[in-house]
Amino acid sequence: MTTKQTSVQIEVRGLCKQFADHVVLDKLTLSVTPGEIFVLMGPSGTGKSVFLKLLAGLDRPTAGSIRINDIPLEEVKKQQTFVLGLVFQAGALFNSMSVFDNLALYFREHAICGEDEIARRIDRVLKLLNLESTEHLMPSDLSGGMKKRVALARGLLMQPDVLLFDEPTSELDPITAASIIELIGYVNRKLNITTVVVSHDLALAKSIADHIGVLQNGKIDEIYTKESLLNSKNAFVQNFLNPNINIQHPNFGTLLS
Amino acid sequence: MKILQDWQLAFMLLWESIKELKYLPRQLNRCFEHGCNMGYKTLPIVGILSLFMGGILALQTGYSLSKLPGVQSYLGSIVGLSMCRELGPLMTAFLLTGRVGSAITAELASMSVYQEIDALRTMNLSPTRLLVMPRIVGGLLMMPFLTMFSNVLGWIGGWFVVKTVDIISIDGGIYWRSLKQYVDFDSLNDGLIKAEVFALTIILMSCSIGLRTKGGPREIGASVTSTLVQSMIAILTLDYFLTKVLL
Ligand SMILES: Nc1ncnc2c1ncn2[C@@H]1O[C@H](COP(=O)(O)OP(=O)(O)O)[C@@H](O)[C@H]1O
Ligand SMILES: [Mg+2]
Repeated sequence: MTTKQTSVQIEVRGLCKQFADHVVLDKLTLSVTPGEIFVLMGPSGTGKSVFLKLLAGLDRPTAGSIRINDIPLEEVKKQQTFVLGLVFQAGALFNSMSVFDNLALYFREHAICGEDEIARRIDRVLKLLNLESTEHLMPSDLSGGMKKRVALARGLLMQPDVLLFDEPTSELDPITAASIIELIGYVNRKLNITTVVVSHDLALAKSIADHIGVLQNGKIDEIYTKESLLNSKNAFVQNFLNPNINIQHPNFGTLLS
Repeated sequence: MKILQDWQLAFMLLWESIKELKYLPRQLNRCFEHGCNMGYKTLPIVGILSLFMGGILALQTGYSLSKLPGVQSYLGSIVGLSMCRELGPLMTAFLLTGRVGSAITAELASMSVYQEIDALRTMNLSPTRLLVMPRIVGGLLMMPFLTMFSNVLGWIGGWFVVKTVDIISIDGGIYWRSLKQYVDFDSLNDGLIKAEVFALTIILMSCSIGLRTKGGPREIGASVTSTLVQSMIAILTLDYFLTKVLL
């Protein structure tokens, strides 16, 4: 895999997304500098996946703008040279195709290279991800962690300008999770791909994030670094990082009495 | 009006698919695969039901005609024309809806629900080009064969009844002669035109409904039902107007 000449910058301004009268994102503003890893944290149901879908151009915002290198996302998407990789939370592998065909589809349909070259590239990325000898399996034969890694492989193979991850470590055991985190960091440093990770995994944020935003009520109040996040004065952020677990006096106190 | 909306969206999908036709060469394999798959799934059931349809038709008309002396010799033409102008295409279309349309909707709906369609779109691959257009081409390639198969088995079913049932006093030779005399190229052609329109309708409807499915497993089931209902309505509506135009 080759390094792209320049990494891209992402600017999100006043992004709003509303489903009927349910406001999910409310004037969200953030910027991701070229080549960095931006981690967006937040409790589940706060709109992290919705944000990624907007960023990937799979859905339209109610208001606001997303610009890539100062060009609106819709325009950028039309350029054949711009490639965006999105690794879905559940993998979103094509169920009717083997692992190999899943990985080869992009090259075959865009006629990027011949079968020999495709096989070589897939071989290499499968080795990198410890997925040797899964080529001929169907997605339904893979464990959750393997599906995630195949999805990651599919994203990497596209040599994207921007890589987006939706909860890459959820539902994984700590060891696999650690290896995925390492891999995201490694790929980012090595290929200089601007990366946005959506996650509620503190270990991930602490180890690879350049900047961290915490999504709360549809917006981000402050951008943190690894260090400043832990010292945040914000009560919501503190509670999110160190949730208060008290079995004697639980939050839902009177529910069962 | 859900029906009108479904029709409209199916029609828009047709337009999109036509625009994707320039990628047909690259998708030819998929087209043949889908076509063969549709034929393979539908052929046996089309055969059996057409055989019975022709038989029943011969039995009913034969019985009615037995009251009028001398007209039973027209039985062959009646079965022949009814099958190829109407029942063959219609029956094949209904079976295609049940066996193929429902399967297409279920497959595309689950791809949509499990974000496979989104994944395609992030890879800059058009779902219409990869999933819809090849199915349309495959279906249009296969439908004439299925329909002709249905016609011929219907005729054979009629002949079998003519041979074996006592109230029908003509013999097989007269049946075939009358059939050959009245079933002309135009009638066969009219039937095949109808069949192609039905196939196009079924595949567009099932793809369009499938791709628009959101939610979970429950919605997949609802979409399949919706495809069956909408396709049947569309087929019969179109059948009436096509018959009027083609008569
Ligand atoms: N297509 C949709 N229609 C209506 N509501 C939606 C849709 N997609 C997401 N939502 C709502 O948006 C909110 C955020 O969802 P999501 O982004 O998936 O959360 P998470 O942060 O856990 O990824 C949820 O309350 C969800 O119900
Ligand atoms: Mg999510």
